[in-house]
Amino acid sequence: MSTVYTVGTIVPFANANRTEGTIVSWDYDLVMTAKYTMRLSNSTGAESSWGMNLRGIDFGGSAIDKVCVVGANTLGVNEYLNSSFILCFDRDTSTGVLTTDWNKIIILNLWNTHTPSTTPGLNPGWEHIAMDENNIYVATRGSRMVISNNASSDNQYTTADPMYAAIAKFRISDGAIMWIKKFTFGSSVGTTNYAKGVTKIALRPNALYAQISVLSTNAGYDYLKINPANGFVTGSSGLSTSVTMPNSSSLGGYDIISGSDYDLTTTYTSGSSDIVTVSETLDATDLYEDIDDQWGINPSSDQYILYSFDSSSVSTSSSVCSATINQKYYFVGTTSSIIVGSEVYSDSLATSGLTNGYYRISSTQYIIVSSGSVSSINTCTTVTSFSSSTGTNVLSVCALSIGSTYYHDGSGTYPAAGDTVYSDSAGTIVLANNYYKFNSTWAYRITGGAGIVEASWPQEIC
Amino acid sequence: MALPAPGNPISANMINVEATRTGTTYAPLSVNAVPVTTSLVGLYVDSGVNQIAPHAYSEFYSKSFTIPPSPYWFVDTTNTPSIGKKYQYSGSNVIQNSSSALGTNYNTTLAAYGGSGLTINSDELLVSGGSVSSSGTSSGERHPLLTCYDETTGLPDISTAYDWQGTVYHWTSDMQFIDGFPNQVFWVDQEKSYSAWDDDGATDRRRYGVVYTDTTIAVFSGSTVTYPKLFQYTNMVRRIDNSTHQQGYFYSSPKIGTVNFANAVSPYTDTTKSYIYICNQIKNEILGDDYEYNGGIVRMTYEPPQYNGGLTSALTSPIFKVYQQNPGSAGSPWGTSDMTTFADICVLPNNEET
Repeated sequence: MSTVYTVGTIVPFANANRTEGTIVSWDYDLVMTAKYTMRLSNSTGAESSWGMNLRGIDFGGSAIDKVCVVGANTLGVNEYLNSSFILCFDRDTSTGVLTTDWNKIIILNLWNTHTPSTTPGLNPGWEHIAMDENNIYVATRGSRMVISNNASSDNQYTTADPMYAAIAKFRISDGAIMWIKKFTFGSSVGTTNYAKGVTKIALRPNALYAQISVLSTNAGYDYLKINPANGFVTGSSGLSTSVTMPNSSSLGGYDIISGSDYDLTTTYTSGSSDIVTVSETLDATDLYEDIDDQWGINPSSDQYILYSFDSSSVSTSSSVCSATINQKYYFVGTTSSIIVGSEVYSDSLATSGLTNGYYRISSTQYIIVSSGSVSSINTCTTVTSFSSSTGTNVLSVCALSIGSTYYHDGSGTYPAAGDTVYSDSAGTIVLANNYYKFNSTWAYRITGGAGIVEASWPQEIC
Repeated sequence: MALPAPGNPISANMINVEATRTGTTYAPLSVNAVPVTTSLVGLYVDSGVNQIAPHAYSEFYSKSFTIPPSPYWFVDTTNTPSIGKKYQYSGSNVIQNSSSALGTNYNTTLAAYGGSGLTINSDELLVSGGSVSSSGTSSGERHPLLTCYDETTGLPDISTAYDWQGTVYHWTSDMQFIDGFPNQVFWVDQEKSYSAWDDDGATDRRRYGVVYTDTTIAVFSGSTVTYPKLFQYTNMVRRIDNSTHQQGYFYSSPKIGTVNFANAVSPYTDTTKSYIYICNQIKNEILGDDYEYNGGIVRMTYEPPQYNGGLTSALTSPIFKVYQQNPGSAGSPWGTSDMTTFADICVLPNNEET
């Protein structure tokens, strides 16, 4: 009975120009029970075989008895491992033998659109897999595996910054893609200290967790708690952001390779072969009881959560403070208080940023949104409207007519010295430095650039 | 935007609608003394409705529905100098020693020798792996790191790094809650020789440990001592030291699977133990360069011991097998067959045998 399955990569014969995926099955006592090899080729046959490296394996539970594997593959003899591969098996419950069910090759256009062999590209394959009884969750690292043996690289992965990765959900029964998200980790292009991207995933009924490695000063180990239903997770610009990938050959999309464009050949050989048993002991280590060999590490952390807030619809500077608060919007924050810089969205999946404009958020406050984030938080000013002339110099002001409505924050009918005068009822646009009059004989002077009536004004000068 | 004021009629339908649900949605008031999240009281947890029983419709008067924060998040951790402190005994506790702070040259390693691994138990307790560098990211030692997170808030609770002796790069490769032992995490170290010595893609030693995600109490020098979460007892960590069948790391990072025989399906009936399996790449130093990398698997038996730093090992009875079928160097574009490896493992639960 096969109950343990290891997955990996082999070279099928000496000097082969391809790699193949392999699964070796064992019983609980590590008696090898069978081996499987998986080979990809295009329709012209063995001479055009493709390379396949398998990276992950999981079991979906007894209700469905499926074992699925993921990895990366080439799309030709001299191509790079720029495609992602997923294959599901039905498992015989009495013997543990696997038979192929469905598979998918997908190009994840995270870094590049598919390019010929002369251009490596950086698009990765699937590295991690976690299954429940209905769905398969998979994730890439941050970029592709390299086809070279280079000890200085990161377990044969390229690294770069910012880094892109993909996390996806497939339906087990038929391989339907439920969602694929593109993640961007970090922001600037550097030359050292590259992050790894997604280094592991773990699944619970209501959450998919992904450990990630994001480069920043004094960075620690981070993780995402993702909604498995739709792939939603809160992000933060420059650290981790995500967007849904469309089915598209364009950059940022994903391409499914038609099943008619390639052949998958799976061979199954029962029994044990090529096994070397090593006599081994488990020894004590050099971690001494002197406990200063163990260190308490003290990370600080920020938790980015999507909070909701009450707001008006988008408004203008002149009407925001009288706008009705009747909307529920959302912001990303590390606390429940919206602040300057908070990313703001109109939906609970944080997919639609608020349009630029003014939004009233309380009886006394409004925010200004620019490029999807809060550029300022402002106080609604209580103002008094009054009729006034426009502004001009002192020699001309008496000739002006009184045809404008302005607003001041003072207590009188007309602005007094020290009051601020605005051209809008929201109290956001101050009058320019100049002379104005508010009746046939009295004028006031604005100086200082902040709309403030100069001391000793208004004066009866007309 | 708000439910009716006191003295006015109020209904479950109105409360549903205020919460942007269909008015006729089934709407129990609380179900339990601690309201379930889909009940009316539970739904209004962030709206100022009293969550303590007994509950009443009158508590919804004048309330406006506030959507609770999304339970999905991104946790970004930062380790600023000084990153941490060495542990010391202090009375009946083990605490961080303020006089032994790690220098500012210590930081968490995210580059090539950064760690990996993530596991979670049914209590939503998350544990992750990493590594700490003692001298930036380009030289010096690397030390494996484990972090566990608060089950409720999701924020880092405690992190511990382990200082193996010698100048070798270590990082946590993988960890898993041990099947049958939900507060015990098995973790596997990955090593790389110091680049000035033998940077050939493999090392003789590989280390395996089990830590508790709870605080533990043990006797040290005749006194009862409380040890912190993730403390590594010496009798719960073991190594394989094999200069022939080395641990390779080209295209490979050790992975773990565990099984406990709680269902006692014959012939596996010992519910007190778990089997732990580790797969990784093996480099055979005796074989020629074109053939030396293959996949390997180790099984060991875990039995929770008295975690007293004593002599009884928690990890015993290793079985070590190599699937040795590397046919030699590959053709273009690969050039090498060094990618031959096991990359991952899955172990079925015991009840799958039936």
